[in-house]
Amino acid sequence: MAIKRTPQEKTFDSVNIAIMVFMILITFYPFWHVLMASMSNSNRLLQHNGIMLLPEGFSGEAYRYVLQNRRIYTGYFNTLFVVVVGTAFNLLMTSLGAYVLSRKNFAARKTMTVAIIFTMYFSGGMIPRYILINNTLGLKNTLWALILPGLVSTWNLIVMRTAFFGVPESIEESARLDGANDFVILFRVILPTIMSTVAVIILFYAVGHWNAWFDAALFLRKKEKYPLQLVLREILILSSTDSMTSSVDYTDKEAIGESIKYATIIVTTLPVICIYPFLQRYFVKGVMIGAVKG
Amino acid sequence: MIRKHPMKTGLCLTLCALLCAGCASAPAGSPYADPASSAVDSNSPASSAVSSEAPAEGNIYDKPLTEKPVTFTYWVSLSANAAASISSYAENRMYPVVEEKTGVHLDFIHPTMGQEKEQFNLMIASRDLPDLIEYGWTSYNGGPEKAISDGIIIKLNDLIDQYAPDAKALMQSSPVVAKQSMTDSGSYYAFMAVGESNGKTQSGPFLRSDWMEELGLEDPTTLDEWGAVFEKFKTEKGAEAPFTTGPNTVVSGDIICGSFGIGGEYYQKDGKVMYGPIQPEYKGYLTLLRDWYDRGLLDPDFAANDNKAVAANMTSGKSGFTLNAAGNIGLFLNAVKDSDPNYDLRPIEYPKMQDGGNPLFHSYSWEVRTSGSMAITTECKDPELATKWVNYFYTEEGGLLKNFGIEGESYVIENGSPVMTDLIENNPDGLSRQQALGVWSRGDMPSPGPIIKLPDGNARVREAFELWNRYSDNATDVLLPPVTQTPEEAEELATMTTNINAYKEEMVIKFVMGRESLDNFDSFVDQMKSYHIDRVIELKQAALDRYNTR
Amino acid sequence: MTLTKSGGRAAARPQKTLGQRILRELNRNKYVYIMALPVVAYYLIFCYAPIYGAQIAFKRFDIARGITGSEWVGFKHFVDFITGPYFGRLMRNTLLISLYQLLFSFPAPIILAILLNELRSDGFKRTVQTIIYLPHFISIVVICGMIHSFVARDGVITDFLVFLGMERTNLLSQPEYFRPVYIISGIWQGIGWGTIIYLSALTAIDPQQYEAAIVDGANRFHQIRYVTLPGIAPTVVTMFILQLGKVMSVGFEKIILLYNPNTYEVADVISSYVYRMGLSEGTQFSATTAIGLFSSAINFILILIANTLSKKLSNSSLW
Repeated sequence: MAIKRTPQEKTFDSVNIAIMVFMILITFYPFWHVLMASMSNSNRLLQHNGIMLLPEGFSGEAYRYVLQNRRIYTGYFNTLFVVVVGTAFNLLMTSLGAYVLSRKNFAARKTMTVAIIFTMYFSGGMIPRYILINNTLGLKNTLWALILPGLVSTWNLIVMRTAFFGVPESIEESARLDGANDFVILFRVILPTIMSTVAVIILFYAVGHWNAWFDAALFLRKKEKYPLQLVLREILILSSTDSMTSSVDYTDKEAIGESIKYATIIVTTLPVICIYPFLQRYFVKGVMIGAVKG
Repeated sequence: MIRKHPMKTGLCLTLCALLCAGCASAPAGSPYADPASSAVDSNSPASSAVSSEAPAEGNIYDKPLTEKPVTFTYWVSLSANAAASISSYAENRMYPVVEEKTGVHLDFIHPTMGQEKEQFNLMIASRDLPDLIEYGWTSYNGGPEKAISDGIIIKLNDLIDQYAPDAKALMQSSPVVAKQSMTDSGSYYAFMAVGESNGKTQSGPFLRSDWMEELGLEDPTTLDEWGAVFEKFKTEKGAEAPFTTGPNTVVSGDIICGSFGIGGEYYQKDGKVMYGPIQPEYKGYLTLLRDWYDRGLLDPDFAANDNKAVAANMTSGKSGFTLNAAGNIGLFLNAVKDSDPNYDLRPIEYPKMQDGGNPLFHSYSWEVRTSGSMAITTECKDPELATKWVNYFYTEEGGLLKNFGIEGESYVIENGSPVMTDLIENNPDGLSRQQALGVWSRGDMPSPGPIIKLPDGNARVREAFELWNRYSDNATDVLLPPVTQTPEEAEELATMTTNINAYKEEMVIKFVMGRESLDNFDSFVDQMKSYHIDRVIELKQAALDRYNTR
Repeated sequence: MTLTKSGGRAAARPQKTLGQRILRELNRNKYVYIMALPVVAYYLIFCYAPIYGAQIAFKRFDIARGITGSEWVGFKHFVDFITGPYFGRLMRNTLLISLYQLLFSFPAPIILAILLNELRSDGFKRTVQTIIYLPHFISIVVICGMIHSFVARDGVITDFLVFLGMERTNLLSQPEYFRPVYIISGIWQGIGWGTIIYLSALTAIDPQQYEAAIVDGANRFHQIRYVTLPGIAPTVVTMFILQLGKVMSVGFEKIILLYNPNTYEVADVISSYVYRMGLSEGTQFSATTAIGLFSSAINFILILIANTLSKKLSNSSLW
């Protein structure tokens, strides 16, 4: 866009850049704070209050403590399995569901949409769900208990369906004239044109699996099966300086409790942050990909 | 107030020796301190049970309890201390020893930390039960009696009579212990953890010792003197918030309002359940705090303080006085020792009553630790064996094992009392003493059997336990023991107490911060009545009456 | 890719004879039914099969007798809640916080996404994007810890406000500041992550539309007004309707981390009340399920209304 900018537009651009710099500062700060706190001396941290620009008395103790826990490594593996396999299934099921719900000439569409949205609000609660997964389906102590019950997120389903509506029907029509069936249309024609939405859906599901711990706590009995978040959650709880004041029995905690809180966040977040730039290109370049396929 | 502990004489003597030899700071009035008082108790069948069985066939644990190996599934929370280095009690060093002795193998199921309550409830609801469950059974909805009638766990009376003489002896070692070990109708439902670890009162007031020395002040003993000390801290030491604490201490703490002769919550007076905030004395308590708040003696931000804020205030010189758990003295001292070598904290006694008497109300933990009690479920195929097995922990040998680990490895006997080795005291893997104990034994947290603790490593913390426990046994007269509400009562109470608690918290804070005039105290009481406080008291009274007739 | 109008649902298709159409429909829907099968099975097994559990809202739940065996008490738990002394306050606080979220937290990421879209440098755009979503990954406990220290009596934000003329105090101990702190910190944590969905919608806008607009003499503001906004409108509407369906569900976690007895009167919401109820005597499965059901019913009614209105006004809807 090599078009001359009006003075008005120049002002707009400057203001916009200023806003963005401000956003960077305020959103980067919490991460920086966590990073610095994770490298701080826990005792100094306890006394600290307010903004932190540099570590309070450098110490790698918290990382040493977190990383020496061998469950971290099984945790990474289990989480990786759930994220990869789970997200693949999620994407498949969500695409199928979104496709079905976007068929205007599919008679049950409306009923099905309402019935699915209904489940966003009404559920049987924790007990019947637990009995179903634990007793009836026998998924206890398997990683499938973390994948199957959340196969489709209704919210993501609706997001994807909205994107499907945006795909020009002419693309589909021409494919159909070439003899393509619905499977071909969905996977070869529609999905490639909305890669940016697919990337968002993948991101949402993957991050969801990455952060999930509650179901793992309910259904997994052996700590070897725990995903990373649950392992770190336990480390966090057992090193928490807060729990000391509430427990009846005095237990002398190691003084690194305060910095561990932050180190666990870095250990869990860093991989996601590293993966994000790879997905990001789809948000910037989605149009190009769409244009090529279209 | 002295409680009697008839145990097998050997164990008893060992314990006494331990506590006397090991610590100069054993809580005054400790029942272990006087061998004579604990050796005999005619009420207890312990002596007869022991004498009839022990000499006749020697020790039943001399050979395994079962011919063919038996495995029990055991649901128990892994203690935070143990979890620092092991991921299951299967790796705990003490259980293989017990397995060798008894022939009983355990398959542990550990709930995720922080999710114990949810997981327990789901386990019960889905009836996917293990053989043994260690849990705070008093928090079962409707109480332990209900757990028996629900068909979750079994009644243990006959089993205990026949196969667990040592457990029975400990669980009947005093009237209070006996009452708290059974249900309202006299059923035994679990094998209890019994004993006081470092004294029954574990939190109380402590202050900046170095400031006190510098200002030449004496330890304050009454609330008026407290106020004077705060004033000095403020004017002389520039403390912005001389007395720091969080909202909970102000709203439901017993320590300050105990001095007015009332509890901060429910308490009892001559067997009658009372609710502190609606007593006339409560107005005096509120007036005092309001005065401290107005004069800038009480932390102006107490309503928004969390633990971290209190810690930051106490370690940064903003505050010089707080009410907190003894362990925090150690924590704060550690935190500041490098940056300020003069920094020192010391505990002071609970405040005297307004009439000058010794303190009644205490933050208090009862000897029966229901949180470490183990029940046998209806799924268990061999309850008899399970009973014999758990009784081992109540014998002298098992008690030592459970509390201190393996003799010759984690502890040695010196002069007849156990002394921890360097494996525990200076652990080569860098574990703290509690963490090492959690690996070698179950002595770090309550578990079925007697609880014996070694004195804390920090002198100031030991001092706190000693000082705060000087009158802590007074508390049994005024505190509400752990009573059981029926399921119907519990349901009725839930909504009422949720409403009452919210109203109380809000109003107390408003009174103290001056957002509500103290002239409105009477209408506060009236409002409490309209939230059915009388009915709540009635239901608590019913539960207390049932408890008293156990 | 061709030009599409918002939603793109009403495009005309080539006329065919009736017979052809029916045959084609049957042929087409055969596969659609096959595709629907696993999805329907999922919803039936994991969402509808356990739904019988909702009946404990009308029962006195007894763990031993199970969900179906417990005794019926009718609407008792609902009546207890609605006639309770705090019902009005809980509703007011919940709805007000939701309203502020709709007014401020909902549009914030949309505006940010549009501004991001207007950045000229791709590299800068990517840098901004990579950073602004970071707070999303930091646990709420830590975020609230930071909030506590920033708005404390000597916190940075307090310092700044005092500089602007406010009386020095701890913001979280004063009822009047609770909602602003809650909402603004929510935007701070969520705005970056919130842009993702709109950025993805923005990529679906054909660059030719911008070029056409420029040829027509549209400046940047016109382009935003006539190309960008209509381009993301369907996503915005969908998100708005979904958001409306959440007004009764203000989460308890952040509330209980930030409130204290002095701010209950403005901060206590339905979920935090339920949370405290769970902590009181026994385990109140029935009462808490009833309150949950009550909130869900209102949410569901709201989403029905929102959907109908949206269909009438903008011709885009969830169903």
